[in-house]
Amino acid sequence: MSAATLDPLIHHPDRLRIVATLAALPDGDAISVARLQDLIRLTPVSLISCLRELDLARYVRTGQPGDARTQTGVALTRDGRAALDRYAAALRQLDRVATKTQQVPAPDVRVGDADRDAAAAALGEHFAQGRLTLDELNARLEATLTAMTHGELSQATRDLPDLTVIRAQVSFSRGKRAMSAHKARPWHDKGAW
Amino acid sequence: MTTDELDPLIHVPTRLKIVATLAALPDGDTLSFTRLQDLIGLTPGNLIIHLRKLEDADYINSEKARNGTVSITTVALTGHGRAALDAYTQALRDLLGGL
Repeated sequence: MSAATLDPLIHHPDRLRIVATLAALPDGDAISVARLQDLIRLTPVSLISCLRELDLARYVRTGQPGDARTQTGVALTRDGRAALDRYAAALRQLDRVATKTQQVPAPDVRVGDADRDAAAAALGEHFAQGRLTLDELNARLEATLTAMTHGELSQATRDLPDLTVIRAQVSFSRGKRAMSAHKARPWHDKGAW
Repeated sequence: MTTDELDPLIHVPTRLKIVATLAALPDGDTLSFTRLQDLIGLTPGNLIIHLRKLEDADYINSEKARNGTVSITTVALTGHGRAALDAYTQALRDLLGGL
Protein backbone atom coordinates (compact mmCIF):
# COMPACT_ATOMS: atom_id res chain seq x y z
CA MET A 1 0.00 0.00 0.00
CA SER A 2 1.13 3.55 -0.49
CA ALA A 3 1.38 6.23 2.13
CA ALA A 4 -1.36 8.08 0.26
CA THR A 5 -4.00 5.73 1.65
CA LEU A 6 -3.64 7.44 5.02
CA ASP A 7 -6.37 10.03 4.38
CA PRO A 8 -4.46 13.33 4.65
CA LEU A 9 -7.61 15.12 5.74
CA ILE A 10 -7.84 12.92 8.81
CA HIS A 11 -4.12 12.35 9.34
CA HIS A 12 -3.52 16.01 10.25
CA PRO A 13 -3.04 15.94 14.07
CA ASP A 14 -5.67 18.56 14.95
CA ARG A 15 -8.26 17.19 12.57
CA LEU A 16 -7.53 13.66 13.76
CA ARG A 17 -8.35 14.77 17.28
CA ILE A 18 -11.57 16.44 16.16
CA VAL A 19 -12.74 13.43 14.15
CA ALA A 20 -11.81 10.99 16.93
CA THR A 21 -13.66 13.10 19.48
CA LEU A 22 -16.77 13.29 17.33
CA ALA A 23 -16.58 9.56 16.58
CA ALA A 24 -16.84 8.86 20.29
CA LEU A 25 -20.33 10.40 20.29
CA PRO A 26 -23.30 8.12 19.65
CA ASP A 27 -24.39 8.09 16.00
CA GLY A 28 -26.20 11.28 15.01
CA ASP A 29 -25.33 13.18 18.18
CA ALA A 30 -24.01 16.71 17.86
CA ILE A 31 -21.70 18.62 20.17
CA SER A 32 -21.43 22.38 20.57
CA VAL A 33 -18.34 24.05 19.17
CA ALA A 34 -17.59 25.49 22.61
CA ARG A 35 -17.64 22.02 24.18
CA LEU A 36 -15.49 20.64 21.38
CA GLN A 37 -13.02 23.42 21.95
CA ASP A 38 -12.87 22.54 25.66
CA LEU A 39 -12.17 18.92 24.85
CA ILE A 40 -9.56 19.54 22.20
CA ARG A 41 -7.96 22.77 23.41
CA LEU A 42 -7.39 24.40 20.10
CA THR A 43 -7.58 28.12 19.52
CA PRO A 44 -11.00 29.09 18.12
CA VAL A 45 -9.37 30.12 14.86
CA SER A 46 -7.64 26.81 14.19
CA LEU A 47 -10.69 24.88 15.34
CA ILE A 48 -12.92 26.79 12.94
CA SER A 49 -10.51 26.34 10.04
CA CYS A 50 -10.20 22.61 10.75
CA LEU A 51 -13.97 22.28 10.94
CA ARG A 52 -14.37 24.16 7.70
CA GLU A 53 -12.06 21.76 5.88
CA LEU A 54 -13.84 18.75 7.35
CA ASP A 55 -17.17 20.32 6.47
CA LEU A 56 -16.09 20.88 2.86
CA ALA A 57 -15.24 17.20 2.58
CA ARG A 58 -18.64 16.38 4.18
CA TYR A 59 -16.90 14.58 7.04
CA VAL A 60 -18.68 16.72 9.61
CA ARG A 61 -21.96 18.60 9.72
CA THR A 62 -21.95 22.02 11.34
CA GLY A 63 -24.64 24.52 12.13
CA GLN A 64 -28.32 24.18 12.67
CA PRO A 65 -30.21 25.71 9.77
CA GLY A 66 -33.25 27.76 10.63
CA ASP A 67 -32.19 29.08 14.01
CA ALA A 68 -29.22 31.41 14.04
CA ARG A 69 -29.39 31.92 17.80
CA THR A 70 -28.76 28.34 18.87
CA GLN A 71 -25.19 27.37 19.51
CA THR A 72 -23.56 25.79 16.52
CA GLY A 73 -23.51 22.03 16.77
CA VAL A 74 -20.98 19.74 15.14
CA ALA A 75 -21.47 16.09 14.28
CA LEU A 76 -19.66 13.45 12.32
CA THR A 77 -21.40 12.43 9.10
CA ARG A 78 -21.70 8.88 7.86
CA ASP A 79 -18.96 9.72 5.33
CA GLY A 80 -16.74 11.00 8.11
CA ARG A 81 -17.21 7.88 10.17
CA ALA A 82 -16.47 5.68 7.16
CA ALA A 83 -13.36 7.74 6.40
CA LEU A 84 -12.14 7.31 9.96
CA ASP A 85 -12.73 3.56 9.73
CA ARG A 86 -10.71 3.45 6.51
CA TYR A 87 -8.01 5.51 8.19
CA ALA A 88 -7.77 3.11 11.13
CA ALA A 89 -7.70 0.18 8.72
CA ALA A 90 -4.85 1.81 6.78
CA LEU A 91 -2.92 2.20 10.03
CA ARG A 92 -3.40 -1.46 10.83
CA GLN A 93 -2.29 -2.36 7.34
CA LEU A 94 0.87 -0.39 7.99
CA ASP A 95 1.51 -2.80 10.84
CA ARG A 96 1.05 -5.67 8.43
CA VAL A 97 3.34 -4.16 5.81
CA ALA A 98 5.93 -3.85 8.50
CA THR A 99 5.64 -7.49 9.57
CA LYS A 100 6.27 -8.55 5.98
CA THR A 101 9.93 -7.78 6.52
CA GLN A 102 9.97 -10.83 8.80
CA GLN A 103 9.17 -13.20 5.97
CA VAL A 104 11.74 -15.77 4.96
CA PRO A 105 13.11 -15.39 1.41
CA ALA A 106 12.20 -17.97 -1.27
CA PRO A 107 14.02 -21.33 -0.94
CA ASP A 108 16.06 -20.88 -4.12
CA VAL A 109 17.41 -17.49 -3.09
CA ARG A 110 21.15 -17.55 -2.42
CA VAL A 111 22.42 -17.01 1.11
CA GLY A 112 25.33 -14.83 2.20
CA ASP A 113 27.82 -15.19 5.02
CA ALA A 114 25.63 -13.06 7.29
CA ASP A 115 22.71 -15.50 6.80
CA ARG A 116 24.97 -18.51 7.46
CA ASP A 117 26.42 -16.90 10.57
CA ALA A 118 22.96 -16.03 11.85
CA ALA A 119 21.74 -19.58 11.24
CA ALA A 120 24.82 -21.01 12.96
CA ALA A 121 24.29 -18.69 15.93
CA ALA A 122 20.66 -19.83 16.11
CA LEU A 123 21.76 -23.47 16.15
CA GLY A 124 24.15 -22.65 19.00
CA GLU A 125 21.26 -21.08 20.87
CA HIS A 126 19.08 -24.17 20.30
CA PHE A 127 21.93 -26.36 21.56
CA ALA A 128 22.26 -24.17 24.65
CA GLN A 129 18.53 -24.49 25.26
CA GLY A 130 18.74 -28.28 25.05
CA ARG A 131 16.97 -28.86 21.74
CA LEU A 132 20.03 -30.40 20.07
CA THR A 133 22.67 -32.91 21.14
CA LEU A 134 26.31 -32.09 20.49
CA ASP A 135 26.46 -34.52 17.55
CA GLU A 136 23.34 -33.03 15.99
CA LEU A 137 24.73 -29.57 16.48
CA ASN A 138 27.97 -30.46 14.68
CA ALA A 139 26.19 -32.09 11.76
CA ARG A 140 23.81 -29.20 11.35
CA LEU A 141 26.50 -26.59 11.71
CA GLU A 142 28.37 -28.17 8.84
CA ALA A 143 25.22 -28.21 6.70
CA THR A 144 24.56 -24.60 7.62
CA LEU A 145 28.01 -23.29 6.83
CA THR A 146 28.06 -24.98 3.41
CA ALA A 147 24.48 -24.03 2.48
CA MET A 148 24.13 -22.10 -0.79
CA THR A 149 20.41 -21.29 -0.74
CA HIS A 150 17.78 -20.39 1.84
CA GLY A 151 16.13 -23.75 1.15
CA GLU A 152 19.26 -25.60 2.24
CA LEU A 153 19.70 -23.29 5.17
CA SER A 154 16.17 -23.86 6.42
CA GLN A 155 16.71 -27.65 6.22
CA ALA A 156 19.11 -27.40 9.14
CA THR A 157 16.56 -25.63 11.32
CA ARG A 158 13.45 -27.28 9.88
CA ASP A 159 12.30 -28.98 13.11
CA LEU A 160 13.32 -26.13 15.41
CA PRO A 161 11.23 -23.15 16.49
CA ASP A 162 12.23 -19.88 14.88
CA LEU A 163 14.10 -17.82 17.45
CA THR A 164 13.64 -14.60 15.51
CA VAL A 165 9.91 -15.06 15.34
CA ILE A 166 9.71 -15.90 19.02
CA ARG A 167 11.55 -12.72 19.86
CA ALA A 168 9.46 -10.65 17.49
CA GLN A 169 6.23 -12.06 18.88
CA VAL A 170 7.28 -11.19 22.40
CA SER A 171 7.90 -7.60 21.49
CA PHE A 172 4.68 -7.40 19.47
CA SER A 173 2.43 -8.93 22.07
CA ARG A 174 3.85 -6.59 24.65
CA GLY A 175 2.48 -3.70 22.61
CA LYS A 176 -0.84 -5.40 22.00
CA ARG A 177 -1.28 -6.21 25.66
CA ALA A 178 -0.47 -2.68 26.68
CA MET A 179 -3.11 -1.62 24.22
CA SER A 180 -5.92 -3.85 25.44
CA ALA A 181 -5.01 -3.15 29.06
CA HIS A 182 -5.66 0.47 28.26
CA LYS A 183 -9.30 1.28 29.05
CA ALA A 184 -11.57 -1.27 27.40
CA ARG A 185 -13.49 0.78 24.87
CA PRO A 186 -15.84 -0.39 22.17
CA TRP A 187 -13.31 0.84 19.66
CA HIS A 188 -10.80 -1.69 20.90
CA ASP A 189 -13.36 -4.45 20.85
CA LYS A 190 -13.78 -3.85 17.16
CA GLY A 191 -10.07 -4.40 16.83
CA ALA A 192 -9.52 -0.93 15.43
CA TRP A 193 -6.50 -0.20 17.63
CA MET B 1 -4.27 15.97 26.44
CA THR B 2 -1.05 17.92 26.02
CA THR B 3 0.99 14.82 26.90
CA ASP B 4 -0.70 13.02 24.02
CA GLU B 5 0.91 15.18 21.38
CA LEU B 6 1.60 13.22 18.24
CA ASP B 7 5.32 13.36 17.49
CA PRO B 8 5.45 15.42 14.26
CA LEU B 9 8.65 13.69 13.21
CA ILE B 10 6.90 10.32 13.14
CA HIS B 11 3.48 11.55 12.10
CA VAL B 12 4.43 12.29 8.47
CA PRO B 13 2.98 9.25 6.64
CA THR B 14 6.19 8.30 4.86
CA ARG B 15 8.30 8.51 7.99
CA LEU B 16 5.64 6.60 9.89
CA LYS B 17 6.03 3.80 7.35
CA ILE B 18 9.81 3.86 7.63
CA VAL B 19 9.77 3.75 11.41
CA ALA B 20 7.04 1.07 11.52
CA THR B 21 8.97 -1.07 9.05
CA LEU B 22 12.18 -0.78 11.02
CA ALA B 23 10.35 -1.45 14.27
CA ALA B 24 9.22 -4.83 12.94
CA LEU B 25 12.83 -6.00 12.88
CA PRO B 26 14.13 -7.77 15.97
CA ASP B 27 16.21 -5.54 18.22
CA GLY B 28 19.64 -4.91 16.76
CA ASP B 29 18.75 -6.05 13.23
CA THR B 30 19.35 -3.79 10.28
CA LEU B 31 17.73 -3.38 6.89
CA SER B 32 19.57 -2.47 3.72
CA PHE B 33 18.68 0.80 2.04
CA THR B 34 17.50 -0.94 -1.14
CA ARG B 35 15.30 -3.39 0.75
CA LEU B 36 13.76 -0.53 2.69
CA GLN B 37 13.16 1.31 -0.55
CA ASP B 38 11.44 -1.77 -2.02
CA LEU B 39 9.20 -2.15 1.01
CA ILE B 40 8.18 1.48 1.17
CA GLY B 41 8.13 2.29 -2.52
CA LEU B 42 9.92 5.62 -2.48
CA THR B 43 12.47 7.15 -4.78
CA PRO B 44 16.01 7.01 -3.34
CA GLY B 45 16.16 10.80 -3.07
CA ASN B 46 12.95 10.96 -1.08
CA LEU B 47 13.96 8.14 1.20
CA ILE B 48 17.34 9.71 1.92
CA ILE B 49 15.77 12.99 2.99
CA HIS B 50 13.41 11.25 5.39
CA LEU B 51 16.15 9.02 6.76
CA ARG B 52 18.36 12.04 7.33
CA LYS B 53 15.64 13.75 9.36
CA LEU B 54 15.13 10.65 11.44
CA GLU B 55 18.86 10.26 11.92
CA ASP B 56 19.27 13.88 13.00
CA ALA B 57 16.77 13.16 15.78
CA ASP B 58 18.69 9.99 16.68
CA TYR B 59 15.66 7.84 15.89
CA ILE B 60 17.61 5.71 13.44
CA ASN B 61 21.18 4.67 12.81
CA SER B 62 22.64 4.26 9.38
CA GLU B 63 25.91 2.64 8.50
CA LYS B 64 27.71 2.53 5.22
CA ALA B 65 29.85 -0.54 4.59
CA ARG B 66 32.19 -0.63 1.63
CA ASN B 67 32.79 -4.02 0.12
CA GLY B 68 35.12 -3.69 -2.87
CA THR B 69 33.25 -1.65 -5.47
CA VAL B 70 29.88 -2.12 -3.78
CA SER B 71 28.84 -0.06 -0.82
CA ILE B 72 25.86 -1.07 1.25
CA THR B 73 23.96 1.25 3.52
CA THR B 74 22.11 -0.37 6.36
CA VAL B 75 19.52 1.28 8.56
CA ALA B 76 18.25 0.39 12.02
CA LEU B 77 15.97 1.87 14.62
CA THR B 78 17.70 3.17 17.76
CA GLY B 79 16.35 2.57 21.25
CA HIS B 80 15.36 6.21 21.28
CA GLY B 81 13.46 5.78 18.01
CA ARG B 82 11.65 2.70 19.29
CA ALA B 83 10.62 4.57 22.43
CA ALA B 84 9.39 7.47 20.31
CA LEU B 85 7.30 5.13 18.15
CA ASP B 86 5.85 3.46 21.25
CA ALA B 87 4.89 6.86 22.64
CA TYR B 88 3.43 7.81 19.28
CA THR B 89 1.31 4.67 18.88
CA GLN B 90 0.14 5.00 22.47
CA ALA B 91 -0.92 8.59 21.83
CA LEU B 92 -2.73 7.49 18.68
CA ARG B 93 -4.50 4.68 20.52
CA ASP B 94 -5.54 7.06 23.28
CA LEU B 95 -6.89 9.38 20.65
CA LEU B 96 -8.77 6.80 18.61
CA GLY B 97 -9.86 4.68 21.54
CA GLY B 98 -10.59 7.23 24.19
CA LEU B 99 -12.37 10.53 24.87
